[in-house]
Amino acid sequence: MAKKRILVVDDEVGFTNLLRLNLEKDGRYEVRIENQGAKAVDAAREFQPDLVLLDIIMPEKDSGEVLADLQREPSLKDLRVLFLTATVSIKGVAQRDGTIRGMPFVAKPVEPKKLIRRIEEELNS
Amino acid sequence: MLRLDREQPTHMKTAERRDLKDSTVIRMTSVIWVLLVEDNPADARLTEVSLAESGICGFQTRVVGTLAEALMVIAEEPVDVAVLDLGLPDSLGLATFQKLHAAAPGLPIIVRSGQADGDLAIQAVKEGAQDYLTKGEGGGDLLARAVRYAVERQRIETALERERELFRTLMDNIPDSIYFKDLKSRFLRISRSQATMFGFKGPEEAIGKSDFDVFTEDHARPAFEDEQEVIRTGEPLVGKIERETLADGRLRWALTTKMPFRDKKGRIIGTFGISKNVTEIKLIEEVLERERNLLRALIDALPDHIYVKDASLRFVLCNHAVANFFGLGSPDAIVGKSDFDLLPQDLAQQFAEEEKTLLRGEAPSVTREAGFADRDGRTHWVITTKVALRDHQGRVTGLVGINRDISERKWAEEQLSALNVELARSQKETSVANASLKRANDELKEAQAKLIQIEKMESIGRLAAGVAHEVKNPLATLLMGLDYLAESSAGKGEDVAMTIAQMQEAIKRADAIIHGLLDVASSGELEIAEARLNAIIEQALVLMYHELQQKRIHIVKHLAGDLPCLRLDRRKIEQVFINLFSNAIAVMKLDGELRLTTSATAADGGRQKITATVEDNGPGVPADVLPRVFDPFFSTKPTGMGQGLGLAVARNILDMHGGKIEMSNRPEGGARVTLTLYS
Repeated sequence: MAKKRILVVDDEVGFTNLLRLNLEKDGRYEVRIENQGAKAVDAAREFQPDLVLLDIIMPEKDSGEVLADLQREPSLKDLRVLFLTATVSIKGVAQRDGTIRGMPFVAKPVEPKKLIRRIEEELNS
Repeated sequence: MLRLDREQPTHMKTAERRDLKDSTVIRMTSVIWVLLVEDNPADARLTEVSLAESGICGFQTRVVGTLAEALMVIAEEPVDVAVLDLGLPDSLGLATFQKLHAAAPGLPIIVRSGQADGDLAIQAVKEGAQDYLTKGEGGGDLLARAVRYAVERQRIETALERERELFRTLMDNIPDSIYFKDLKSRFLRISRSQATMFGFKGPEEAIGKSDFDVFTEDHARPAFEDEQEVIRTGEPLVGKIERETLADGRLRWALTTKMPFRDKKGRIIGTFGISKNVTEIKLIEEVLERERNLLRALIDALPDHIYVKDASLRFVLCNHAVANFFGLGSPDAIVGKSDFDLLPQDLAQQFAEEEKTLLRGEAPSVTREAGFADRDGRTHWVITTKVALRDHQGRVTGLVGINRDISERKWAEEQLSALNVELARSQKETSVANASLKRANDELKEAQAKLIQIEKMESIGRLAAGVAHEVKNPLATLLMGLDYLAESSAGKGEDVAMTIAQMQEAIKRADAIIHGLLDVASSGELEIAEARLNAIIEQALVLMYHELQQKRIHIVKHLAGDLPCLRLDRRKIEQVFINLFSNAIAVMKLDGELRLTTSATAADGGRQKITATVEDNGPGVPADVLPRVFDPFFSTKPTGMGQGLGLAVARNILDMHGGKIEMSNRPEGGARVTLTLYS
């Protein structure tokens, strides 16, 4: 069974590196990291991930725009997105049914096992 | 005396004769009774005959031969004169005269003596004998004349003596000053009382002195002038009241009459007068006058109307206040008038009726308060007292009245009463206003407190939101790293595994705090929808199921079935209950009891008040802690066990719903949280 491709878009370099270590150690995933939001779409087009873990707040580019760009990309039609956020302060997030703009999210910090469970749920849904 | 009448019935009674004798010599035409004391019968007979034949007037002669007989006769019979021979069988010489004279001092005695003892006779005359005759000298006529003259002289002397006696009685006893003065106003004679007043031993001490010696100049001078005027004009000065200051300073008032003093020929030879001490009367008068003046001054000065009316109800007297009231210049203009001349007729009639009851003696006085319009139409209030006046026989002769104008007081009272009403009204308004002000103030305070609280929570929220992102990312990195390390270091010893586990736990705690802060931050907006409180509570219980199970907590529910739908943010209210449940679970032991109740009551404005209580049977909250339990970061849980934000968030949420959250201790133990919401 081919490994699932997971693109992590997050400006926290340390976090992304450790996340990749944990995901790769699991053995089921091929992970690519993009620390600049602006390059997220290019990276995705090139990498053709099954799922994007998208940090909500990034310095250069808003995650909303990144999401929109990704969704506009024809080659990424079936792309799934799982938001990662350290800022659960976005209005109403805590009360939403685990989604932001229709997309599911995971709050940082998160244990790798929990995250993997969520990833699996998304990939299999 | 009876014997006398019997023996001499033809004669007048002694008293009558004495009266005649006393009145005037001229009218004496009756018989002269002669007692002839002669021991020589021949001489006696001769004398008796010569008297009878003298023809001068009628003589009745009684002859006795001894002094003893003579003394008996004069004691019992009305003898007019005695003719006494000094040489008697029982008495000789001057002693004979002396004894008889002593026995009857008023009886004229003519002494007869022999030629040898003429000296003796002269001595007798010196001692009071009327005359003496030498026996054998002269004829019967001489004796008769001597007898008659002796009687007449005696009568005149007696009359004079009587006059003198009257005068002396007057001068010695009358308390008034009586005086006679010469042309130079020097005293000729003064009464004893005047002498006493002057401080003299007797009246004679005044002779030759004048007023200037006994009075001060201020009286002596005008008195002197007055007397000289009387002397000059012959006109008397009658009833003059004089103020006299005696030389020693005593003051006296005298009522004086001065008359011209004339001699027999009518020539003025001085003055005489009488002066009555009227000092006491004068002093009484002065006191009376003072009292009269005082009374008058009072009556005139008092603002009250004071008046006296006679029996026909006409004014006899009134003060200026009455005159002013009637607009008349002076009280004199009122005197003689009646109320009918001055007041409206009906009012005058009313007063007259009232006053007639006094005049009829039906009441000693009347007092009443009355209001009537003056000439300008303004109502005056007068309190009147009228008292009947009676004369010394107790008959009512009129009345005295006092009217006091109490208008000012009345008007002030009316004004005061109006002001009081106004005051009461404004007090009431003020108190209503105060109450509403207080209510507004309370509401304002509450709103302010809420604003402060909200502001506080929002500040925390903004801070939390800022911090959260910056803290969560490092935490996420740490967690990722630790997890990796944990996997990688598996089998490298218990200590490494334990260290990593504790670090993971620390990261979760830090994360929990950030979550709590974000809860506070995220409570700023509500998503309002219709919801049922009981359903929210049930949902919260479901969410807390695991924790409740762990501590085997018993749930006792008394949820009212008829609660109205509420408009609220169901997630936030659910959050509140979750917070409350988790606090309750934390403080209770195993098998604790969680009691939940809801109820609805009517509230203002047709709304309903919904109350929910969450009660535990834990240890309760210390009293000193109760006021602070809703403060952010306040927690009674051990460090690391709670963030101190659960109740702060709950209160924030209730505030935003216009509700209330309160915590108290249950009497039976444990804590009670009461939520209040309004429909």
